[in-house]
Amino acid sequence: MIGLFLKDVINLKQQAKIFLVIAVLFIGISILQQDNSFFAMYMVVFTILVSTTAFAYDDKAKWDRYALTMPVSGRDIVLSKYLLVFVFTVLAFLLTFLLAFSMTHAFHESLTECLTISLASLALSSIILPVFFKFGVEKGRIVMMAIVLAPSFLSLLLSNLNFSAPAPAILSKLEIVAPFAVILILVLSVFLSIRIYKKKEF
Amino acid sequence: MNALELHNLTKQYDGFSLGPVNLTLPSGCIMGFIGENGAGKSTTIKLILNLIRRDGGEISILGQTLSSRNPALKEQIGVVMDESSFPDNLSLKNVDLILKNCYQTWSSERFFRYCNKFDIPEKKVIREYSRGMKMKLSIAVALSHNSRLLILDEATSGLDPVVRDEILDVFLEFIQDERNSIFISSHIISDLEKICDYITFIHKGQILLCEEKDVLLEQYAIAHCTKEQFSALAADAVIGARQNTFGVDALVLRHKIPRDIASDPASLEEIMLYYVKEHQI
Repeated sequence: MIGLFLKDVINLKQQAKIFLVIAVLFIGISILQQDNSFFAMYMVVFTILVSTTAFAYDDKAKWDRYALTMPVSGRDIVLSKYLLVFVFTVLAFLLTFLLAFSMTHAFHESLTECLTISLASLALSSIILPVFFKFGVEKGRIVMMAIVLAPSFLSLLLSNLNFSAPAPAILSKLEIVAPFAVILILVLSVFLSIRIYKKKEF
Repeated sequence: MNALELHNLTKQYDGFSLGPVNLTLPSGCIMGFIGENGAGKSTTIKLILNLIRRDGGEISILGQTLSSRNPALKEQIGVVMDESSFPDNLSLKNVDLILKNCYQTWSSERFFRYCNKFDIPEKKVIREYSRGMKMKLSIAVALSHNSRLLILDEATSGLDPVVRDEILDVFLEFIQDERNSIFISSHIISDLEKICDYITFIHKGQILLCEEKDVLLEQYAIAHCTKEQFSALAADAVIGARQNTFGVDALVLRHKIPRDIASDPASLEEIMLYYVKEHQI
């Protein structure tokens, strides 16, 4: 599995350079505007782009059907992709946290904010990865767009329906439940992906 | 021990059904798997490699069954697909590093030796490779772990004759070790004629022939006869025939035709063409 993970990291190296240049740009904007929400958004997009790009390269080279002839299993291939997403999410978290903390010097606030963003990003990846394993990156992209856009449509819909914001008490409970919910989604996602992958024909 | 055994292997698709496929490749031999495009070569190879699920039959590789629970067997299978399988941005060093972490029996020394021999550029990334270079890389990879059985799907197609010849030599060298075997599919039959011990011929999902090459070449001949001579031939002596202005050329079983009919040795290509013609009637 280490080999598979290395393959993605090395293969994405070039892409990563471009991402880094954009990241620096966003950091600049964030500091100028004293608001790091831009950068945080970018980090979410970044982690999703990482997995999309990794899948796209694999698809193009028809890597999977070769990889499966090596002493690795379909399970390894699936897990290596989750490892990739996880590692990049952690990286993105550290970057956003460092930026937020250096700007606000509020440790607890920065931590909560960045953790929330990272958890949201992980949840998003958990939904997208099984889709990629099932449909491949080409068709998966359309589904991904739908998934990414769904929350904004939903909030638009809710505000149009005069749906009032939940009470602060509920929100603070949500704060405790959310991490566990995301972990649960992630674990379910891994099992679902493995199931999907095992049924796949190449 | 047999390197590869297929028993009544079947796979059903909409509009195409494969099998039952039966074949046996003894250790130390090269088997050529020939047939037109769409005859079922790649499907058979994918079934062997467990990339698609079979509907029925048995597959035994080096006396074992391939599964994710048997990684040791996968170490011993070198696979070359019809396209290079490595992502675009990798260099030779990257490929070495990655595969070192995938195969326990990986030999970097052997890998770079083959890359050197094949003139694969060290500085370029795979995106910049020609088709020939990609193919050679795949072959170098297949030979750089503890492979006992090479499975090659159209590995020589799209390569120029010089490179093809080079690669065929490497295969012959590989087969010097009697524990090693090669199963190679191709529609470039002249290549296979050069190196194979066994020929399996697949047509529309059915195995028409599975025979030692020398036996095949000895058994069959192209008879050049007049129409009268042709109609006098025993029905079971003729595999396929082609009319021309002078008479009839027919693929025949050599020992079943009268001695006075002129005949030439049949090449594998002719055997395949006449067989297909016969089966189209």
